[in-house]
Amino acid sequence: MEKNNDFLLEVKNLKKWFPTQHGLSALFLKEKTYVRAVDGISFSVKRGETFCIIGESGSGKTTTGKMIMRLLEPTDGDIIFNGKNVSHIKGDELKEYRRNVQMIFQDPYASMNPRFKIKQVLAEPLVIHKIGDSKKYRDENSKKLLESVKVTPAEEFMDRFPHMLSGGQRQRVSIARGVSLSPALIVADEPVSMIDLSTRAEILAMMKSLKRDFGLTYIYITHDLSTARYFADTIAVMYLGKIVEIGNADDIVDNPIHPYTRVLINAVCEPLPGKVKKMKEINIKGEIPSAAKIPPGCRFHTRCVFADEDCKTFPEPDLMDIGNGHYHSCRRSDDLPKFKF
Amino acid sequence: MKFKGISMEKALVISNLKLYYYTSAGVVKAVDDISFHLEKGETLGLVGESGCGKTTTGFAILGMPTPPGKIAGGKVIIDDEDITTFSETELRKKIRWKKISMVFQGAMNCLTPVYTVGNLMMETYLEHRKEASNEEAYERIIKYLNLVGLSDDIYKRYPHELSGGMKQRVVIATALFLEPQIVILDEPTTGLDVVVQAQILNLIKELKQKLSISSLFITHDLATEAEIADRICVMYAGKIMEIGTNEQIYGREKLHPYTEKLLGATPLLHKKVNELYFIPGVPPDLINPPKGCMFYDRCHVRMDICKEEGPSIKEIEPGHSIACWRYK
Repeated sequence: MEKNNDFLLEVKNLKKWFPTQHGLSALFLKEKTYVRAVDGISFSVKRGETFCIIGESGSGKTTTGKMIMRLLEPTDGDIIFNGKNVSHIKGDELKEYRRNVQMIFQDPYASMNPRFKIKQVLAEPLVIHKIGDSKKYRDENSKKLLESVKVTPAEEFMDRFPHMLSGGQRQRVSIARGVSLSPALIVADEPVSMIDLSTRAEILAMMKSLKRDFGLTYIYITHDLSTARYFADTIAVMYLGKIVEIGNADDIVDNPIHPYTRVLINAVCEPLPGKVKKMKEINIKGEIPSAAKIPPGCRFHTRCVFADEDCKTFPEPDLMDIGNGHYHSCRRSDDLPKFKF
Repeated sequence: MKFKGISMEKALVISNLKLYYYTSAGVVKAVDDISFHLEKGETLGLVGESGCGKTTTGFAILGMPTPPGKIAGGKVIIDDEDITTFSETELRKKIRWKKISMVFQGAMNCLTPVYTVGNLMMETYLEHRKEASNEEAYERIIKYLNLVGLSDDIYKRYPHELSGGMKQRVVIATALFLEPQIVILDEPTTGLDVVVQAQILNLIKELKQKLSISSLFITHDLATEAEIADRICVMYAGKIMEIGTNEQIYGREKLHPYTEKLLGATPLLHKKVNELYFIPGVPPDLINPPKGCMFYDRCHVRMDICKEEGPSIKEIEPGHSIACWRYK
């Protein structure tokens, strides 16, 4: 067993339930209903690793990211960062925690104050955390950051406003702002999904080199398996608020067990010839159920083509270990056909 | 695959089409002298980065450039008629939705929220078929809703009651139910989840077989195009860089440097790579385009001649044309 301090972040049975009634009706209705956005997930992130959370929209991946960032307070469960439970910290403690954990958002157009110059955008974290009192120091720092994300010439870009930058450049500035406090952990929520294809690879490569230079650990939230395989060490597949499969990135892609993971992998388009005449094999029924009405039994049984009667009635299976750090939660895994792509 | 020479009927011919935006800063040559054709029953993929003129080409074909854009030259020939000479009324009466329809980018998010799907489709139908009765329109709408895999009760639903995939199906049904010969699909799978995206691609493939329509599939994603397009047309900075069959492009034997780079930037799922390629730099300014090849600044195999003179597009093997001095 690895020692505890190898893990930068541990998440234990984390839950976020949003109540669906508000105000008076919440007082009088006996039975409270919840949207169970994240419904009991556990995982550990090693120091220096890139941990990827993958899933469709509505699977709870962003909610998980926001809870780790403590933008949302967990309903239940623990978040342990560097051996310290941070799930309900407040005030100065929380501020100190946020210095160590930063987030990069999906939309580079919406995540920057349009009235701030780029140097102000980059100096803002320093101002909040009262680092370096002189303007000169902060400008120097902004310049260095811009150079590290290759937005050059830095002097020129520092005085520009966000609208004068392209999407790719803006996302680089967001990343620079993310690393400005030298955090230990960065939660990157779909950082490249709005970026043009030709620059997407460049940004991912840059994030990889920043990881080396700053000794970062990433939590990479995405719906795109092909970049996940390139970028991540570990992949966790989420469905309706639960992790259904987790393991080494290569294992997950080459040897997926859970029927949902298989569907996700089969659905990926690849730039290879000879696919026009064939239909894609999509072994899934219907659409993702509402997180307010999570099906009983295995939560995937309503869409699973391999489900039998027991899947509907048996209690939800826990993650099962199949070795090499690969876990899945399908109780029929032995009866499934061999995976092919 | 049919090559040029083995004559196939052409559903649409675009020749030397130009669409310029006349802005206060200067003339933006968004689509500059492009020529291609669409064979009957085939899907032609139009790929390129944002701002390369893919969508603008789609709008130009329908004869509705967004102001201050104007068609500055060239021909769009459908059924032996050049529709760039048509007036707005003629275009509306004869062309749009009767012969060519379009699934606009993000159209699924623009469905009128106060209309039911039925109202919405009925309005379109009756606008284009003034003589039709409500019953006839209803029957047609239900037929096409079923065809795209939706049940009859969707007719009475409001857009907010539908999921993204269902809305996209409604939009596709609306583009098809007047039975056009050509459909332009502008990023129909962008913004959908991977699974839904694969389902929509399957739907488009199925419809292609059933209805034998020709389509122009616009996307920025070469991986999606590999699934759907019989032939691929790669655009860059308003010009066509390469046209080839699916096998020629994805077989990766002879390629335009730009296509090569784009493919290198598209990750493969089942092959672990340590480095992804990217294309350094940005596309050129279209107000003052460079004198030579548009891709010169970002090209990894550029030569001296490329800076001086832009290459014209030339057929290097049957059905495969490339605009690059390397293939002269």
